[in-house]
Amino acid sequence: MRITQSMITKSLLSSINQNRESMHSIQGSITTGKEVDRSSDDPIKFFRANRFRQSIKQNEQYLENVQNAKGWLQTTSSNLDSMLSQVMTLRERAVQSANDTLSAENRLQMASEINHILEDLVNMANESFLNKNLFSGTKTKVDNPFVYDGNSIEYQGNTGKINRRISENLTININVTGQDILDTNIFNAALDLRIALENDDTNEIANTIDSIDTASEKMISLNTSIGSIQQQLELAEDRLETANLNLTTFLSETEDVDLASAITQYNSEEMAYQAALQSTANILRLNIMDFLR
Amino acid sequence: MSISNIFETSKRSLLNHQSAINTTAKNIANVYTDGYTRRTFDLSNLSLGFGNMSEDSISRVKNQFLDNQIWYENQALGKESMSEMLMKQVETVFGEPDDSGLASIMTEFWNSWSGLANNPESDSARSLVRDKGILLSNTFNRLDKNLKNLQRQTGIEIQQKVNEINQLVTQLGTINKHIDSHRSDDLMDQRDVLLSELSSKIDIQVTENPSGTVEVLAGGHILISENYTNQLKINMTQNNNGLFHSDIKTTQGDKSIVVKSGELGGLLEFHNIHVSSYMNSMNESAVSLANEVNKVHAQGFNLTGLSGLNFFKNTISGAGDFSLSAEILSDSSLIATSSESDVNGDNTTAQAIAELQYDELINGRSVLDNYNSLIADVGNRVQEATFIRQNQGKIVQQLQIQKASITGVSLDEEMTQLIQFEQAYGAAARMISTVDELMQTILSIG
Repeated sequence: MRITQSMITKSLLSSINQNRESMHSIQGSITTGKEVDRSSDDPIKFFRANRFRQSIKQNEQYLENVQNAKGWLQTTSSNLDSMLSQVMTLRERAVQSANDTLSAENRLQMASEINHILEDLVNMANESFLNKNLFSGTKTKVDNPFVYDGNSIEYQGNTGKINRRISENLTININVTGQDILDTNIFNAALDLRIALENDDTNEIANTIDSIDTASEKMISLNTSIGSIQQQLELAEDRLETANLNLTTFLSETEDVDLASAITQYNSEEMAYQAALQSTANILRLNIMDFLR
Repeated sequence: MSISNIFETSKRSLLNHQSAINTTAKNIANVYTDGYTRRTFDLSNLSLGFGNMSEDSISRVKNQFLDNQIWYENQALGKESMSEMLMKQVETVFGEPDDSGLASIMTEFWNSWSGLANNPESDSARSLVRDKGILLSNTFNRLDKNLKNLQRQTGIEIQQKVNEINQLVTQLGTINKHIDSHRSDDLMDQRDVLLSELSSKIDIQVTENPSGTVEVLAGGHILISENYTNQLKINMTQNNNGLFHSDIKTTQGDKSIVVKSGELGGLLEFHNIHVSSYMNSMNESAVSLANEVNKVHAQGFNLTGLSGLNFFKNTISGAGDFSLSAEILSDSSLIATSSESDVNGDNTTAQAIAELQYDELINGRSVLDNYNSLIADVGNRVQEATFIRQNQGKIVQQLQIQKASITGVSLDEEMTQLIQFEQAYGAAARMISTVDELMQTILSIG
């Protein structure tokens, strides 16, 4: 093959350029820390990385949903707890007043105490979380879900369920509706007790003890179901956190550059580049003129 | 045979070698000139003693096959370099992955609905949903505008490319005429440089006539022949979605030319096909997102107990006019969350909207995945174009090196020849003085 001057220049320049180009691309991934920084770096990996990124964001929202639900459930549960302890007091008073030694006057006094307890229970059932009624179904903004006018209790809410989505394919119900509380019959039991005390009717008082017991059992079972939902949420939270940890790792494995190998590669490219420059300088200097007189 | 004949032969030898040295000098002078083809001086007929220094003895070293190959491969190189550059611009327009990219904004939009489902009673959660909706609209609008701008720019670039091509055609036509009347190596060098430039811009077929003139065809139509040139023009139309379509036609005859390759081919392909396919895919995402959200939203009730409102504008035709409905835009409290009237705590509608993000609304894909595929597709094209460009670059490079090996100037060779010619010149001069001595001898006889 004839070797000509322009040919030498052309091939030297192109190999130096190639060196430059690969150095540039490795340098780019070292500085960004990403092997896949844009779609064209590796479309398949990029697509996957994008999915990971979006899943992480979605999971973050689910985590927020879970945390929001946890707050709601905690308040619900502690309210139910306080209601339960009032129910216990109610039962104690009922047992006390069933005792024959009490006078009618004593029972009348007791009746007003029971009325206070009943008002307390109603107040607790009217409690809210972040300005939303806990126990009014989905009518979370009515003034008071339960209205006690001294004679009867009226429920203003509905039986609507409040749901939270805690993963792509799982929603859970997080509310105890006022109807659920009404169904325990707790308010009526208290009301009956008060009326029985006012009427000084010991037989009826004894009867209410039974209905209070049934009511408290139902209350406990409501609270238990809240507890199991809380547990479910804890599990979901753990799962979401683990998932995001894994996703972050996958994301990093997919798009981050392996610095050690990138730097090694860069060094070898740099060496090749220097060698090319060195040889270019030597070859271009080489000339027949030096050897002619 | 007379002595004066030797004089004559030696004189010719002197002049011929002078000519040869001149050729060498020209070669050396042009050692790095782009497109210069090495000249050789033919001394063969000199040996017979009848040599005559004329331009015919100097010839261009030429390899037609290599030239044709280079022109051919140049077209693909031009096209892919152009595609690579344009596709990279599309990639930049979408700007993924970034917090301001559509993918991230879309996810945030869905998340805001999920957040609203946590607090369906809340005004602030509603205004967050509206803000994310506005952000989503702006992002769709921005992408639409940027893609359209990009297309408009390529339209201008196509015009420039056509101008460049026309200019080259004119120059080549002029050279053709000159060569036709007087064959010139320098002009042919220049012609080949121009042809190489032309071939990177548009796919051409070149045939060289025995007279040295060239005939150039593009898309089956004659651009240049011995004494004729035809120019190109653009026929640009705008369709109803605001996108352009450009066709190339000949000025004379008004014939359509299908440009498949070269930089112009790359520009046209991008301008006419790729931009609109990306736009279509994005519009598809925009329209189905808006429609599906509206469908669910219209069934829901807002805080004032109203239903039937659209969240997005009802008549969205694509990313360009993507926007929230006027009602929601002016009052975010009108956003519906509930499946029942006057039940503020119900989040059924908000949740249903948040769940649309998983629904396979477009060709069995979710809206986000449809967009993700679009981005992956852009990436694929960039990668492909880069790959072909690099390969094609290597092919052209290799061909050019081969060509340089044949037609380029080698200093070693030229210097060696220079010494040869110099010695021959000296020898011829010595011949003359020897003949002179002979003559003196003869003259002294008398």
